[in-house]
Amino acid sequence: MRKWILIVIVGIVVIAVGVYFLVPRIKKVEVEGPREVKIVVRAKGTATEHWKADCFDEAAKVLNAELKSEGDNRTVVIEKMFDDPDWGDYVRSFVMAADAGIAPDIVLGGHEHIAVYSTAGYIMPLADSVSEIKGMYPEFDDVIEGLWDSCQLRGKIWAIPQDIEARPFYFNKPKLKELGWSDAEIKALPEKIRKGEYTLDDMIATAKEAIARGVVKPAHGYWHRPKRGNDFYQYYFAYGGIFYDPDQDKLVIVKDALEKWYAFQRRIVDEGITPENFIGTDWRIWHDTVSHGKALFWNGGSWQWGEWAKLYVKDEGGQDYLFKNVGYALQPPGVRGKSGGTLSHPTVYMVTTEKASGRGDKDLVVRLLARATTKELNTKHAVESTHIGILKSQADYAPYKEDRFLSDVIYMLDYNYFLPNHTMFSTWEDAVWEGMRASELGDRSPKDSAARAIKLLKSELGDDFIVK
Amino acid sequence: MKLKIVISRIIPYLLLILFTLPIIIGYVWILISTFSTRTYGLLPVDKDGKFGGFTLSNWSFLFEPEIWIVTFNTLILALGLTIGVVIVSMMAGYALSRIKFPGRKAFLSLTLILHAFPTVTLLIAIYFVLRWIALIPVLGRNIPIIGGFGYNTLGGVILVSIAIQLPLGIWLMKGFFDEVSWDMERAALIDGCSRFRTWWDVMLPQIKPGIAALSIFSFIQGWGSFIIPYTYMVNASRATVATYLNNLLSETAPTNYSMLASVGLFQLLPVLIFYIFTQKYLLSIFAGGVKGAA
Repeated sequence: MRKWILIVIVGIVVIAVGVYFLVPRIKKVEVEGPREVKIVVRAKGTATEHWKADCFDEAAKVLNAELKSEGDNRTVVIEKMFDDPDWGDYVRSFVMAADAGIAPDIVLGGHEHIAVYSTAGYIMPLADSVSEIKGMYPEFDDVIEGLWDSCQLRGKIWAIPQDIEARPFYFNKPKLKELGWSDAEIKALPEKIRKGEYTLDDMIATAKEAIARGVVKPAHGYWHRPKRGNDFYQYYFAYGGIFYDPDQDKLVIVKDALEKWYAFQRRIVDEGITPENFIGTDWRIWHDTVSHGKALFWNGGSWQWGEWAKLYVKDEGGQDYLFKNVGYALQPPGVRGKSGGTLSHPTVYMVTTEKASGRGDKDLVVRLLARATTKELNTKHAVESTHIGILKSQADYAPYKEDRFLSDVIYMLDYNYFLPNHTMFSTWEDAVWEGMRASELGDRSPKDSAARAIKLLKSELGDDFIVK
Repeated sequence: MKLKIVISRIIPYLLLILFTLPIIIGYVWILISTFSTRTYGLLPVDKDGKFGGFTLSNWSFLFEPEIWIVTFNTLILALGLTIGVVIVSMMAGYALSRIKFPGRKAFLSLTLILHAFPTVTLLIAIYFVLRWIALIPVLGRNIPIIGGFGYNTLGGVILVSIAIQLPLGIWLMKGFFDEVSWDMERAALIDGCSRFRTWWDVMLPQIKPGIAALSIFSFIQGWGSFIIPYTYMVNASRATVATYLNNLLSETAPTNYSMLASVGLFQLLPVLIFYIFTQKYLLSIFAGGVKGAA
């Protein structure tokens, strides 16, 4: 018995060692002739954003026809992964796959992911300059100039813009009318915000009045985003805050702006226009409340307009209902005279390295991206998901122009700003979020929260951080 | 006197009904939802809020190939987990119960500590192990059906699930072996049986209820497994029924709860049927002991 056990064990060891050393040395024989190139695409989004992944099916058809006419023996086959986990899970899943060498070839992400992914060697640079990327394919030359800023890091282009959005300040028109505002005054509100004549202080005063006069229920005067996200940085910006100093390549906190932002978060609760313990409210409750006219003012994303129309107020008339009841403007400034603004967060397609994906043919991957960056495909996505277009040619493209909401909000891009592409930005975000949360919940005073956030950032970021 | 007896018999039933009612209502809601466009409480309603709105459309997912892929994967995971856990637990449980060897006590303590670890704390460390396994030729990524034992393979998920389930299995099996009389084993050894034959022919038949119970328990665990396939499969939405179900929930978009209930019921049905027919054996886990103890 023992003899047999010994023989079996020795046999297993010999086979295992043999396989371990020999198999990697057996080279695959390159087969001449037709070859399928699998390109894996990973994207995330809601049901209305399915074109983020589906555009590649259309692009592959065009590319394959081109390859055939050129006599290239390769055929592109697309494999898509499209779902809607939260961003944390989405990024974790990609990082683990990339680290294990089985990442997708194209990954959709926020532009701020470029810094971390490129530093880790997960994604490859696409060009050394804006002029170079524009010269590669006519589709890339069509991309709105300013968007390349969000795709650059260390002088290279690392990504191709996919979509962009505004984060409007929304208001309920019938409620303002009930409050005594005339149609002309309601119509003029976006322009007043743009010029800096209507500030966050004015918004608080209006919301308080609406509650006092029973136009809206208590704590339904102003609803900000219910969960952690980029939208909150708009208040910091409204009070004069900046994120980054490009000359010194350092992350920045403007102390005065941070304190004022935190004070604003607490004030909206103290004034009774936002519910106590509001942070963490379920998104579905939030969407249902704001889209059905139960709140006077709220801050959201342009893409949410499409979600409300298709998923929340479809039975009431969809976009027609929204146009009748909801108005939109830039985010009001915190300082009178300062223009309103909006934070844009372009999502971008990044191409993974051979090491991260375990596959080659990256020339085809980039070419596929070009074929997916067309006014036809991008407009399908823009219209269905109410995201703003990324191509210059879309401005004159009828299906895009005919979309009333997109045409209305496109001016907001003249007042937008981006998050920085800095490897340590997530640390910055963690620290300021914790301070904001503590201020709004009343756990700490705004000043104390700001001091703590700055102290934390100094210790965590060291030389990468400056206070202004 | 008679009244007292009646009351003493009725009260426990009333209490049981009271405590199980929320669960029963939950199941009833799931059942109703699967055949309704929407529900108001337990009442199926149409889009105008009136009684009606019955539909079979919530079961349309059965005609998509994805659901059958994930069901097959889940079945392989549950079976793989069951086979792995039962085989290793039977052998380890016997050794720990009957054989004295250096480090036995330490091994038992360590197993218990491992059982106390929440899975989530081990996720990153296990990832590195799986990533390393994936580099091993053939074993890592090239085994039919289960893919291999590395990261992003069903086999890898099975391997990790077995490891996490093993402490419980080993302790259970050890408990069952402890209950078997030494006399029977001694008689077998005196009659010339080897240790292996004693274990196989004499001991295992004595703990059949335990093996059955552990098999059922492991299968149910594997069938409902979420966090491990969700973490170690890149395309998590196509990994198992539980991850597929999770994919129906969006962070911001409204959820189609009727569809969710249908997939939930689809996932639940095999377990419910399995449980109804095997609960006698499952309960022996909690009762302990050998054949007939349950």
